[in-house]
Amino acid sequence: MSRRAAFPALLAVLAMLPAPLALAQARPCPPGTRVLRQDAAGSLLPAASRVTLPGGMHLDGIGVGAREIELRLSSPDGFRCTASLVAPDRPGAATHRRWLALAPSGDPRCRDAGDLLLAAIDDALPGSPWVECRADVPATEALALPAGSGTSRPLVLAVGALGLLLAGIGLVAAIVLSFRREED
Amino acid sequence: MNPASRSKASLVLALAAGGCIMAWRMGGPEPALWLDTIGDQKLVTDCLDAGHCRFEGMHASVPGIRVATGWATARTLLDHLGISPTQVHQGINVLEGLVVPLAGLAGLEVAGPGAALLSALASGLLLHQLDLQHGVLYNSRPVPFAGALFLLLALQAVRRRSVLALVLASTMAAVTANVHPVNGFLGLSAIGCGLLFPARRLRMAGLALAAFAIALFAGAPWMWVANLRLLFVEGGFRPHGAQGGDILTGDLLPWMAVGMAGVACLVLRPGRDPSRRRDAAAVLATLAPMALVFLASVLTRAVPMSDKYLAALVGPIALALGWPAAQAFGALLDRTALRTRLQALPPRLRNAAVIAGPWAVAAAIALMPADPRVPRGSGGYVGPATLTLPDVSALADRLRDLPGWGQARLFRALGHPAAGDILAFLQLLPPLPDVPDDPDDRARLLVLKVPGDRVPATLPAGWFEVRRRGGMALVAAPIDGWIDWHRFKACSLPPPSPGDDGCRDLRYVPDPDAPSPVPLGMPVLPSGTPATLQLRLDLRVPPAPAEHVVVLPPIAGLCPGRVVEVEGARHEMSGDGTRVRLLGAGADGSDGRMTVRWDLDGRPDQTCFYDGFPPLLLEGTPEEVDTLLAMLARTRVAAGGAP
Repeated sequence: MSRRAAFPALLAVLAMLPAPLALAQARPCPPGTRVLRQDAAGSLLPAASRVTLPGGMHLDGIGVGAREIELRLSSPDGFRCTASLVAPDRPGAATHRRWLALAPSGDPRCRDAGDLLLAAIDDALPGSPWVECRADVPATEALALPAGSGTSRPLVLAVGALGLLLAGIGLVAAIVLSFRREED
Repeated sequence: MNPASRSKASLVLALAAGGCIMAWRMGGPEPALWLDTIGDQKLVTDCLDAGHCRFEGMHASVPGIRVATGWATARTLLDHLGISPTQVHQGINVLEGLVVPLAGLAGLEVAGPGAALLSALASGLLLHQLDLQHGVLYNSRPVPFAGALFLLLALQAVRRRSVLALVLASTMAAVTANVHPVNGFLGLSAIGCGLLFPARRLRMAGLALAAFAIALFAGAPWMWVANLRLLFVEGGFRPHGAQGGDILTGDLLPWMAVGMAGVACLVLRPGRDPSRRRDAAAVLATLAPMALVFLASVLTRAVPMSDKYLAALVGPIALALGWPAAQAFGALLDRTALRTRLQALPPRLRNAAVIAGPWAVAAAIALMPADPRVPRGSGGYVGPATLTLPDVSALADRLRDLPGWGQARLFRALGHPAAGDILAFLQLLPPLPDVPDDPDDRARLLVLKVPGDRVPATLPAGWFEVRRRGGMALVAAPIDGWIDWHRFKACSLPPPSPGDDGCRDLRYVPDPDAPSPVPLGMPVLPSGTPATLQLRLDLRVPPAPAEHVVVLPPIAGLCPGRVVEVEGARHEMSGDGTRVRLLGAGADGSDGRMTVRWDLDGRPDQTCFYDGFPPLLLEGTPEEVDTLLAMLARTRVAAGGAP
């Protein structure tokens, strides 16, 4: 690589710095976040397996992660999909119940089966399956869902202004350049 | 200004006028009441009013991926500056209209006025084809504008060897990606354009990458940190096999294929002008990364695909269609010697044609058929009278002036197909009085948006017109009901499991744990498959002789319902159960019960909307119900038919 190419490459690498920094900061179950109780899994499968799913769909298994419950589904024609149950305050949930919500799914068969399983599982839960992470609580295995705000309002406004400013500069520059004579 | 610039300015002005008129007709003056808009506004309000700023992004249809932080931060800033959602919607209408002149300018840049006009025309057609909900304020709306701007900057960068244009194009790609990550593939396009710089390929590609990455992280740091954590720490995005798979809408796909083929021909057969190969390669670079990823996703059925994800490519596809078409047209003119004849026309006539041509194309774009109604989708109630955000604000203002309408009463009494969305948006406005609901109150507040000319000059006592806009009137009809909605039994049929009859005794109160208003315990029924909701409702029949009518109107977008049984009250029921006449029992009057069923998604030709609230049911005196039905006349449908 030539020296002239090295400088922009270095810039690009520097631009990527926030990513590894963020990854380095990622700790399992940091205080102020919440995760699913792993012991909730025991009551889920019996409740879910009683549900008759539409279109011959079959529940192959349930996985309880830190932030979502994964429902693995299949049908006799070989169709397979996974529906995810998440926290009800997660934006964009397709449907929600007391403790859980169905994450959006593009496939109607998966969504319909997920809807029914969501109802059965939510009804079967004796209480909230979510547990707050505290400093004195040992970390769970997986990463946690951020439970609250961490962004200051001025920063949000500044970032919003930056996006609008860049778009505005782009528009003005494109029009100005269009009316300039081509150099070549 | 020299004549060439004047001619160019005239062309841009004409196309901008045509595009903006078209976009305004498609988008309408006010944003529809819609789930996505309510969610966005909740983020904005939480941040500005309550100081709870959560901008790690919203969830996408691919599990775990977060999107739209750039959109949410921009919306928050605009709200902070006092720009209302309606004004933002109108501004985005203008931006959407600017796609047309931007595509035209791109055409002008590479191949002259013919390509400019055809590209502009194609961009108007593609905006109509795209699965974009033009009447809704949500993050996909500004993407076609951003994509067209990216195209123009990228072309200018390559053609003029402009480093500034390349940096701005890369930055634009990042801004667009922060609105939706799928547009991140424009970053690859920017790098591709950098590689087209003669003699400085690697350096320019590196610069494009650096500008893209810096703007990407600066514009939505929380979202990309979350997405990178998902990718590298939590094991990747895990596209779930066939979970998405289907092409939900793909009207743009054939146009994209034709356009790419056309531009590829220009790359392979540059003709007499070798610089055309470079320009064509630049157009191909703006198109190819996103297009190929989209096609690969369709073929591998990895994620749900809709051509709304190609919104950023409206400009590039339009140019890819317009440019080869202009080339072909030019070749035809040459072959038939028509060009020579045209050049022989008197100069005055030719000048007039040069000026009139763009305006004629602009007029064609402006007059393209546009239906501002929101298309059918999963985001909310879609009917002939979908409410807008200002409709709900006006309703709230009127209710605050009326005695007795507190939040709890309105939750139980509001009658509208999209009652849940109305109540959710009301939560973001200054609150109604917090007074408890009277358990003996049977009032209903039916809210209907109907054609203005269907509203009678004199409304029944107590009814009022909330507002009138664009030929439609929003009417509120307080009704003294006979149905007791405080308590009822709700069943989902067929029963969900052998041990569960699917029935629940419910009180009509909000679910305290739900993030948006929804009645506690109402069945959650799957969408897309036939299911039945059954409500068993108590009737409070007055002892004095009286007459009351209950009607389940066939309205487009509304689930069809019918009364299946009335117990303990004198009544007459129509054969199809959609109309029941209840009679006051006189001195020996007693209460009764009524069982109503709604077929959710039961119609063979269309789906209907159910959001956990009891679907709309009209009731009132015969005169009141006749007035309601007369107002709804144009929005009703014949059984199983179209509106």
